[in-house]
Amino acid sequence: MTGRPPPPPPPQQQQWGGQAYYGGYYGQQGYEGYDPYQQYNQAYYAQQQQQQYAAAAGQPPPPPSDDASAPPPPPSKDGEAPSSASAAGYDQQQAQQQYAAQQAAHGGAYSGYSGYYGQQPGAYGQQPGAYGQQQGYPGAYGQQAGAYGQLQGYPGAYGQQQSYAGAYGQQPAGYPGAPHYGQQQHQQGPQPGTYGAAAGQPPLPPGKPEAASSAAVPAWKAAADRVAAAAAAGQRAQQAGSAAGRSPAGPSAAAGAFDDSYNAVPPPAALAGAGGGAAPAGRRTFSIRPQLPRQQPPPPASPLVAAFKQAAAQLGPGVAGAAAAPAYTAVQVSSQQQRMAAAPAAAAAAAVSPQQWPPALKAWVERAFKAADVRQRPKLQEVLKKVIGDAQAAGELWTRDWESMPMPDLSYSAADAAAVLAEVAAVSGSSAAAGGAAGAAAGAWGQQRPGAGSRWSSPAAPPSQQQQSLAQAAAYAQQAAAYAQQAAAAKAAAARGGKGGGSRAGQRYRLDTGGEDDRYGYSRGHSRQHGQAGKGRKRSYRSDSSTSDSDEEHWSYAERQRRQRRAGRFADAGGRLGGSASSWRAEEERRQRLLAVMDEGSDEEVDWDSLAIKGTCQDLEKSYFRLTSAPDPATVRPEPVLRRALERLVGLLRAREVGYFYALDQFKGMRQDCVIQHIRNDLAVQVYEAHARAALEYGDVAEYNQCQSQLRTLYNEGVPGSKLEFLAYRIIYQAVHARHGEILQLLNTLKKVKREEAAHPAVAHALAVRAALAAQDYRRFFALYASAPALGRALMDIYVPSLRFDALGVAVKAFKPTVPLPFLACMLGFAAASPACSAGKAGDPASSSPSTNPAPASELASVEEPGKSDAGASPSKPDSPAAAEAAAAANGSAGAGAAAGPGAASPHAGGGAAAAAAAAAAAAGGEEEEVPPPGCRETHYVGDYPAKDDLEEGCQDCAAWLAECGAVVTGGTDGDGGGEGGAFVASQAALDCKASAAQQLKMPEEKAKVAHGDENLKLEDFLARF
Amino acid sequence: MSFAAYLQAVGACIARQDGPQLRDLVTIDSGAAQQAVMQARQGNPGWNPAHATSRLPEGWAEFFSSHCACLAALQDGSRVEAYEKAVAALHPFLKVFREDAGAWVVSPMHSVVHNLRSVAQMADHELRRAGQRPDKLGDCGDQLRKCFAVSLQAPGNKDKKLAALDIVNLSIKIYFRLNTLRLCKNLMRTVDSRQFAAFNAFPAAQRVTYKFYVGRLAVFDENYQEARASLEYALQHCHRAAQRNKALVLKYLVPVQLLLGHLPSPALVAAHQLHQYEPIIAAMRSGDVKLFNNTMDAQQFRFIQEGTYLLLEKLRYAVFRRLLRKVHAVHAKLEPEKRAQIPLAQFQAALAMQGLELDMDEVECIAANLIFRKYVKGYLSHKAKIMVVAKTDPFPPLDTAALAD
Repeated sequence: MTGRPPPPPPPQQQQWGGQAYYGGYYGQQGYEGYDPYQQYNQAYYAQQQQQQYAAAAGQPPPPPSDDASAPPPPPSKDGEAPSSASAAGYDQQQAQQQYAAQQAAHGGAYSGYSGYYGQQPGAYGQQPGAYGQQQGYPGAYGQQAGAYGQLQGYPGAYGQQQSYAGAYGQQPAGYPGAPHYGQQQHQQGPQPGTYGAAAGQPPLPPGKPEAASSAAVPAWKAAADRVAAAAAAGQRAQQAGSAAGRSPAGPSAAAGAFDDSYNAVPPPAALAGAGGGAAPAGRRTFSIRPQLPRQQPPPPASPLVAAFKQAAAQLGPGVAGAAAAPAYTAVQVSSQQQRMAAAPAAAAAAAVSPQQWPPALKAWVERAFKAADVRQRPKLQEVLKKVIGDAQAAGELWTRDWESMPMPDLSYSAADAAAVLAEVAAVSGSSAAAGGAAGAAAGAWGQQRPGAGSRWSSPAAPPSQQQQSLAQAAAYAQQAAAYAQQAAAAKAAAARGGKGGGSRAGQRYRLDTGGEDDRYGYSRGHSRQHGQAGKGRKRSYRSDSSTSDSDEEHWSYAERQRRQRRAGRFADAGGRLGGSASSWRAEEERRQRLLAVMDEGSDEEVDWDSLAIKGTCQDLEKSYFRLTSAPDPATVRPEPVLRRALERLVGLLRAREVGYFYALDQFKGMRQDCVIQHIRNDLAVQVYEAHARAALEYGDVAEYNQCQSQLRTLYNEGVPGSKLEFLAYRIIYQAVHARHGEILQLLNTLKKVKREEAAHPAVAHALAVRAALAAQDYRRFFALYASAPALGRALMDIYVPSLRFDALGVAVKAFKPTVPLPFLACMLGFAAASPACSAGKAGDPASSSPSTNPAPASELASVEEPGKSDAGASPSKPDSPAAAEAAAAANGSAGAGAAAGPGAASPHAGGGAAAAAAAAAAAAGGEEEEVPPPGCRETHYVGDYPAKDDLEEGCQDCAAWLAECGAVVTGGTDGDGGGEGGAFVASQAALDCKASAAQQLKMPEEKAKVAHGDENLKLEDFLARF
Repeated sequence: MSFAAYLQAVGACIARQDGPQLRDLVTIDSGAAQQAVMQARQGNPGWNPAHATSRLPEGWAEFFSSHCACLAALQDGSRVEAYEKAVAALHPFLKVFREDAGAWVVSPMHSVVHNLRSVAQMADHELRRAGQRPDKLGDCGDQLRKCFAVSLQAPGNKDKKLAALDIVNLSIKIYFRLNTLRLCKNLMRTVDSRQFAAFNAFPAAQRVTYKFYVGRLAVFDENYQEARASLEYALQHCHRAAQRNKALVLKYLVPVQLLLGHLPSPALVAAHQLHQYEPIIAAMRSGDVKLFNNTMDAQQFRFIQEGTYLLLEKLRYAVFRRLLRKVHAVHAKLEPEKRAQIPLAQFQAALAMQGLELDMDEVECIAANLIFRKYVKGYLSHKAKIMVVAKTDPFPPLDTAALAD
């Protein structure tokens, strides 16, 4: 994942009619729509302006009674002016920091944001009238602002460990706040894409070990419960006839999707990342749906408040408060404070000339300009002005760490950010009013808490204003529902609207972060969510609301029961149907985003990784299916699942429980999942390596080649793995095929072999094989065949038949009149090269101690012996076996590497005994590893052409092979080899070179291991697929 | 030279169809062009070459506009951008090349394609340093293919075909660098075809370059006779002052000649700094297997990098043969009446004296291979452990041996 900050909202004013759009949008959405900014503001304030913040945040929960009297802040736009500059500035900066931090922990955030934008059309649907509504119910705002102020007191109490739960806690609060969307959010939850965003998370960042995950799980559960609660609220809302939330998707679809959100695959953590799924819609949606929204009835602001309160009450005071509070409160307060502080500061900012800037800032600005496209410069200027003005206003021009400041993100303009915040400010009223409102609304909140009705129809909030607003909320919601159902375009709109709601939900979860300790909570909470999603998904997911958790402790027993019941109601209803529907939606959004990317042109670096699918499939066993269309995330396994799947398959192979074709199918499926999800890390390497080994072991060279080529690129990218092992395979493969046009590639490979790599036993062996092949040194080749490490033999197997045939040609041509079969069998690797093999020949093992082995003087003397001895028949000396053993021991102590090392360079060094010793040493080395390498069934791969230890057997094989070639074998029974008559004794037979030369020798036909036909297809393997 | 003067010179060249001079003006190494562009940009920061060059004839104006932009980008140090400009310059040039009836456009074509390649290489270098994928040289290969096609068609004037060999050379150079040598085959087939202009019509420099590459490629095909012929052609036609090129040719010619049994004179080796081959040559001369093996081990990485390792490796049998020949001579002295029957034990002892201690099976294997590959005429008696060599000419000239498999 890149550290690139995600693009915040693009400038869309023109398209949407400028301020009217924003006014409407934020009028409607004021408390939820602009959350990223709020979030940053909040974090920023927690971090940087603690004193001020403390003033607001630290205030104890105000008495519950005085909210009604709070003067509602006028939603006039006048309020926006002061705040816009500073707010935007903060946003810029904070957004950068937060995003960066977040990106580090979790890549899905980016898509989350995009998703947020992608969903906006849904929000627009309501906006036109919203603004008007907002005018009409100013009281609601005041109240709410007050509520926030009050809620602010909670985070501290809530505590750090709650921060994560807070993320979810927010949701229920948000839900009632926007009944209209609330339900959609839930529908959206289960989107596979979404889920994948969480599921495909990289492991927790090193900084947060178990703590995060352990905290994450319970928090998650709490969240799940809250989701359930919110859902319940949604249900009630429906029953009450104000099921506005349903409207877009249509009742039944909504219900289906709704169920799904609780019970289907994705854990609620995914809900938080809902944006991830929604992401692909991207900015494009902006231009797609301008026409739909107008008819939809705007839900007034007051229902938001009412619903908010209601849900809060329902969730229990502590939880709801803590959960709901941070998202809104801090932001509101901070924006007010900011406005107060920023109004003069913004003016002052302009006054400070660049000459007075700190050098680090200057450098930063310079960097920013360099990094920016020329076309973006005006925008950049604007952004920078805000950032710097902001820093100045905060008096941090010299204290801020400009060096580590990320570049401002220009994909959204400062103007947008400013406009957004201006609207926020307008909505929440003037700073003075807001202050009062804070106190007042806090009262409302507290008052409502104890008895706040669990039904829409019976709100227990006593203040008349509240009641009024509630009633209105209900009315509007009803109206909305009616409209939505009537709307001709309801269905199409529904999908979008639902989507929008969903992603906003995701957005909102993120907002929250509870306690004061959690100033960085944004990123932290996130990483936890994702860590949890990756690790503990299964558990948390199953046991959604049944476990107790700090959040749940606040609930009464009855409440818990109710929740469980409700959760159980949806437990089996979700499943595939909803999953596929939402997956389709996610896919659609991804497509849209891709289109958007294509539309944008190629002058920007496209982060393709962010467009990669995130799988949601949990199956460890999955058959390969060659995709004919875009992959469905529901059938793609995320990385952690793939790891387990690989582990399982490797285990099965080791236990020899499955055949190659089953493994092939599984490996291909894993490879596909890796490719689809752009997984190019050690996991991918492991999959390819295991598959390559399995293929080699079986003899499926085609599959091996595919894996090898992928591995090569992966290794070149620096991904760790068994690089040298596969380098050795590649050298052998290319050497084996050197005559068939691979010689250039071989040369290329050799060029890249570094000295230290060449010293590795496997690579040294491979190089020796290559040298032996180049020299057509059959003896040496088969000695190396016997000593091949790992699966090198599998590749050498490829060449054995033709090499044997070539050797036969050489023998037939060079020898006269006959060649005894024992000699031939040893030379061609039918029988193990042993002293017995060359018994009766001049091969004195003592003379063949390799040059690396310092031979004693006595042995050196014996070197001359074969030369002196009669070439005809020097009998093997009685002490030769002992000498051979000594040589073998010396060689063995030198180690296989040492034996192969010099041998690699000079293939003719080392005698038969040395080769045998090397083979023995290598074999011994191989046996040390008890466990077969991943992907293999056997610890020690024997190869297709193992030499027989017994000479007679080897000679029999050799004779049979010679017969296949059409060569003439004499002796054995009655030939000049002095046979005993009767039975054929192969070791007494000989190849008649003259007679064989007269024959047309032909290479025995090889049977392909992986036939293109079905002759080799194992039926059980085939059936095992079903 | 000011930019105006530069343009004027260019315009004059175009007007009088002076190819060679235009070639000099167009190359990116041209001091005049660099100076002109530099001056123009210094005088006017917002200088736009498109305006300045608009007075040139159609086609040329676009070409020079992009070309000057390329130069400007190079002066700024942004090579990737320069490459893009160079590609942009190529297309108007090819149009001019196609439409102009005169053969004089061949000369500037040389500059254009050479510019393209060197800028591509620089761009790749820049990309590599920036950690990005260097793909400009590969793209350059594709661009050159277009140039080659145009020059091969030679619309309007057959003499325009004379641009083709230079493009072929450049392409092969790129393929060598990118290790995509299989692409060379098609080009070479075209060069040999009748469609191509007569080979001798091309300038000697281009012929030498081409033959050098042909020789090197023939080595990979184990076609050593052709390799020798081509490389010798290159050596003989190389300009006498081009010492570096000669040394380069010899670097590949010497191993081929060794393989075919021709040892270079010490003077030649010394004259062209071919010291890496000296021990090999000595080993070939004396049949010193040990020296040969040691040299191959010690120089392995160098030879591999130079691309001669696989070639030199094949000399091993020649060294063995030399040793066997010595054994044969000694044996003939000892037992004149059995001179044709060399005991393998003697060969084995000789090898052991070289530090190569092999058992008899392996010695037999080597001997069998020597016979099979026609290094030695004769046969082996396994039973008697004797190599029986032909009475006449038992060691035929090396170039008759079966070097290729």
